[in-house]
Amino acid sequence: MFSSSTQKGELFEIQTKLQDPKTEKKKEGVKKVIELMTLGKDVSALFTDVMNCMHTTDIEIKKLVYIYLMKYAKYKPDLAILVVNTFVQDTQDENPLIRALAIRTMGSIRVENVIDHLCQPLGLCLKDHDPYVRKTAALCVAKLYDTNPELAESRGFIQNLIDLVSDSNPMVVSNAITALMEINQSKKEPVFQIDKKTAVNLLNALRQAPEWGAAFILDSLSKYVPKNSKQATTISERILPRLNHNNSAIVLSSVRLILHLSGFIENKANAVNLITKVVPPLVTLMGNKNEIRYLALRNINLIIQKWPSIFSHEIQIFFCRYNDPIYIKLEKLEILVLLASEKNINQLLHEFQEYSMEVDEQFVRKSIRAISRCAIKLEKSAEICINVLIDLVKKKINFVQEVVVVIKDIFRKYPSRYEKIIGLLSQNLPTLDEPEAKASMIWIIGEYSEQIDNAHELLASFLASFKEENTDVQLQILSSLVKLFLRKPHESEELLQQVLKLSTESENNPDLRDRAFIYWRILSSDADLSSKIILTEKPKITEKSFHFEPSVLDELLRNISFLSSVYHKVPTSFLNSYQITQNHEEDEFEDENEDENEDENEKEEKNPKNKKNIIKSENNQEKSNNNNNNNNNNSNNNNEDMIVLNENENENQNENDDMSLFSLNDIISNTVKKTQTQNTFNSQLQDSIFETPVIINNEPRKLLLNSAQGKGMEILGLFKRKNDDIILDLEIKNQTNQKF
Amino acid sequence: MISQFVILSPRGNNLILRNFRNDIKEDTSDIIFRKLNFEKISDFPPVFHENGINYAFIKYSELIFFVTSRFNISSSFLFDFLDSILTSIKDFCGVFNEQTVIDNFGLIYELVDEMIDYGAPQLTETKNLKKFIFNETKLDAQELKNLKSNKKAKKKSKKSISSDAKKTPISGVFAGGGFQTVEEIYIDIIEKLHVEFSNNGSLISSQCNGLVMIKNFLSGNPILEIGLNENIKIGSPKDFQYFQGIFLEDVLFYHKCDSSKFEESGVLQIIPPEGEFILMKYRVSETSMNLPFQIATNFEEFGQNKLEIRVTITSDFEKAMWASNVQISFLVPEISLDVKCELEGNDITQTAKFQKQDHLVVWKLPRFNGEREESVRVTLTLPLQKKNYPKQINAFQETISTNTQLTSANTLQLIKGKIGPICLSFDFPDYSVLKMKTLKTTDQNRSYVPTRWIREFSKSDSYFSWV
Repeated sequence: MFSSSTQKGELFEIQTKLQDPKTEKKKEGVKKVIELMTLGKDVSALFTDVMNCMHTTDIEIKKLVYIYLMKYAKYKPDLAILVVNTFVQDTQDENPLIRALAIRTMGSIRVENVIDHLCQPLGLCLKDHDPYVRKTAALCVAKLYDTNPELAESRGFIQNLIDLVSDSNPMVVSNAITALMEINQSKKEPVFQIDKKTAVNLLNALRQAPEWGAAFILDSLSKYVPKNSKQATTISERILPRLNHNNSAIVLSSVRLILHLSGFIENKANAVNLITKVVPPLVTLMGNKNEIRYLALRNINLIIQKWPSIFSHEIQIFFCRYNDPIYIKLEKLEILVLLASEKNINQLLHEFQEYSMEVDEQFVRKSIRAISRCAIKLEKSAEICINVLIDLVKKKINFVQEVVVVIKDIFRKYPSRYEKIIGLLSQNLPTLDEPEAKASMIWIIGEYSEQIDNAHELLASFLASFKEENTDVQLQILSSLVKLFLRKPHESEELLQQVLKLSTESENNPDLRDRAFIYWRILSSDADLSSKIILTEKPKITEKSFHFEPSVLDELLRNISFLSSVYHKVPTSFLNSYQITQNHEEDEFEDENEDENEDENEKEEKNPKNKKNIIKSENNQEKSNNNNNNNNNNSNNNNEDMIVLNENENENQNENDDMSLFSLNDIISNTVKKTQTQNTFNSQLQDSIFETPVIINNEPRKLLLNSAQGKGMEILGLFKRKNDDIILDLEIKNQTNQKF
Repeated sequence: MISQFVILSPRGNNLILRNFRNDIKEDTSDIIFRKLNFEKISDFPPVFHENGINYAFIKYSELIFFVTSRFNISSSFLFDFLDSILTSIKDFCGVFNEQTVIDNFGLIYELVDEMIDYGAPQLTETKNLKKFIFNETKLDAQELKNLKSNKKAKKKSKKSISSDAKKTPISGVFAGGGFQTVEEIYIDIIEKLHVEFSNNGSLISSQCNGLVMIKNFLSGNPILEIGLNENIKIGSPKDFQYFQGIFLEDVLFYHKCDSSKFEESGVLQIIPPEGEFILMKYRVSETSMNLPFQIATNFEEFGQNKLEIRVTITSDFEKAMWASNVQISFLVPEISLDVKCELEGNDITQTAKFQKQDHLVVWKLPRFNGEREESVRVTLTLPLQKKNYPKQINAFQETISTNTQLTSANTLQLIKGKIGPICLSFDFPDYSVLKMKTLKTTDQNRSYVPTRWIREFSKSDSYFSWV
């Protein structure tokens, strides 16, 4: 109560000031209002008083009142209409500043009554003799189009804008282009396309345009498709000087444009020559502030993936400095791995070795991973890389566990080549406490059980604490024991029985239980066949698996300098909700999430066919939220899927086994009969922890439910891999006119 | 397209909030404040997206500046906008801190509105903006006093005073608000050195990024002619084998600058905009760089558990010159029981200390003259060695394990691995690759000699040696 009454007192005090005839007092009052507004307090009660201050010759007051109006007019539409007259008067003021100010503010007030009165003055302002007014009016068309597209089109404002593209003032040109590009984005059929003539025009404006205008003009030029190779060369020649600009936005935009144009040049040598021209400016960006360096690094990463050789001489600038912020260090590491080659590997390894002695945990781990990625990438130098890793283990650096994890990757790439390390690794066995490191170690033991004399004893020691282990570790103990059993049956029979019993009887985790059952069934069938299935050759991993898919990479390269290239995600994947909120009132998107859930439930009831899909995905999402997330979820999912499928097919077949939880027998017999693909699938299943780390961040979502089936609701979804987590990315669209 | 611009106080409330497009709710500052508070702000990438909204932020003098957008727009544009708004506020208000933002919020709103309309960039240069700004700068009494005393101080000591040009508010100077019209121009050549030595003292990588910054308070539209070193080539030394001068690998010029005579005679011509701007940025080729300091480290073992580290810094420049605020620091292993620092030589201005909570040895030299060698001896006392078997001894392990006992050489290696790189930081006035040779101002309408402040300066960006 107290606070509200003081606020009232405060408002009253301001009100008296606003009503004071003296300009000075009024100014004080208005300033106070804006101050409160900035702090997020509601000052809409003062609407009428603030509005009355608008009739003044003092520009300072006028500007402040306009700021107020832009925020509050939509809440008081009937009162807002009263200010229209003042606005219209102002648009005819002799001072171009006042004219521009009025048209700018009017466009930003999204009240229909006001918009209706906007058209006539806007038409005049678009043809004003002062460029400052024209450039403001150009953007105002975009504002109008956003609120009322039909009106903007019927009044011919779009044509006016197109005329302004050939204006004599570069600022007007860049604003007109900006407005047109924006209108294009919201329409299916572009209202405006850049032809040869406009392109020439834009290139001319580019020379005199103010910095930011130039960046926007360059952006729009990259939408232009040159007719032939010669044209592309001519344009690129005009763009090249922009690369030496001080403004990083212009440099990056020019880089994108040049990469875009290089695709149209027929002579390959010339094209490559053109591309190498972007290297020095990008390197210079690295001398900038941290923020810009970060952007540059993310973009360079993409360019290297496409053209690996062009940065090979610049490797030194990517070495980490000790005072770099961590996010820059991590980016540099990525790039160093991309640049690794047989020539520079010694230099790089020396760097990585130093990095792995540093303090920051994340950085050290990534450096160790970098070494293993080099080993995987460069077959000839794998030996040196591994020696460095061994060295690190011997030095007892803080994160030996990470070394174990990465060595597992190396074993997958070069099977049976470096077993001599196993001895060294198992010395560190008791110190391992992280699930991932443990699981990796157990995998190695399982895989090389033939070479390790006391493999069964080592695994037995893990089995002792089976119940306390993390799921990843449990699954790995299970798989490794099965492998051991197939290789040395008499030593480990007892252990195997123990583990199968433990995982099927006393564990609640369905993932573990199902996998145990599957093994049990496989093993109880033909022994030769089961070792064929379980001990199949695994697909090798390559360094390429850390790269983007070509189509995604091309899409990202088209977005160089945009946010998309910084996130390394295609635009559609992070701009999802833009359309939704455009249709809705501002206040509503708070509830979006709830709505989604409700809708999903509703959907399930209506459409049992899709139920499976949704439940599964929810399931998975939960799991990944639970941080329980390794690639296992993948296999888990496959697992369930397979079960579901087979259940339907084989419901009527007989079962003669005592373990009849699911119709597992059939599944297994089925799987065995099936083709080779199924075979590899199985081996992948069991080793899924070590599956190739594919990065699929940037694929577009797949359609799960189309709008016709879902009565207007469309669901798009995709499993993504973010670092090591599996994430289900769902997008739900409302294709009807009704609100959720 | 930018949707919002916000200046956030350290307590998380909005000092300035401007919604350009009304397509994002106003609770974004809560989101960013929460997010950045949890993680150390300097470790967090400066752009991120959440819930379909893109955020970009910078931090300046405890305040967070950020913008939001719903579009896939040019990322560097976001930072350029944040930077230039900061520069213009500095230009208009003189100083910059939370109080100036509060006092001048009307002016800042005006500025922001001229710079961005409907999320699209408009004017940026202080000179152009001035026509459209009507608010007057407010400074509190203390600041005004500082400004005046600064002016006096400047007259006295010409050399190596930090350029306080930014403390002269533009509107103050030109509106005649309490100041005389001063014809001043400040030119700074600042070079940042990044040098990395390997543990045997050989050079791993070196880089030198420089910039020429001008703060212009001249009235009218004078033409400025700046002459730098004459023997400059832009490009790589590989391409010009017989050239003896300075190689700049890459150069960026201010967009209105006439650089046609630069390679020939080192001359740049420009009609400078008002306020602060960067005339050029450059990267000096490795072959043209001078390294002012060499770092050497020696290790010696004493008894069973003592390790002495001797760090020697040698200066490699003329005797008459000196670097200031030299500081050498490195991490020592956490397990050290005792750390003793001992200076060689008897210079009382030097200090060498061990900061226990950070495990950091810090050696400070307020002044480092040319052609000298300074060193420090740091003695570490380490815990006596035990056979370091893991607690849970596994009987099976023995069969495959090799000999685990550590030899003494191994220990030194181990301890060395835990000593951080030797980092050197310094300020070095009058030391730079590029030098200012001539400066001419010509005005068609009158002849005058403005006050000119010129500074050449090198600074360590990261200058270190691995151990």
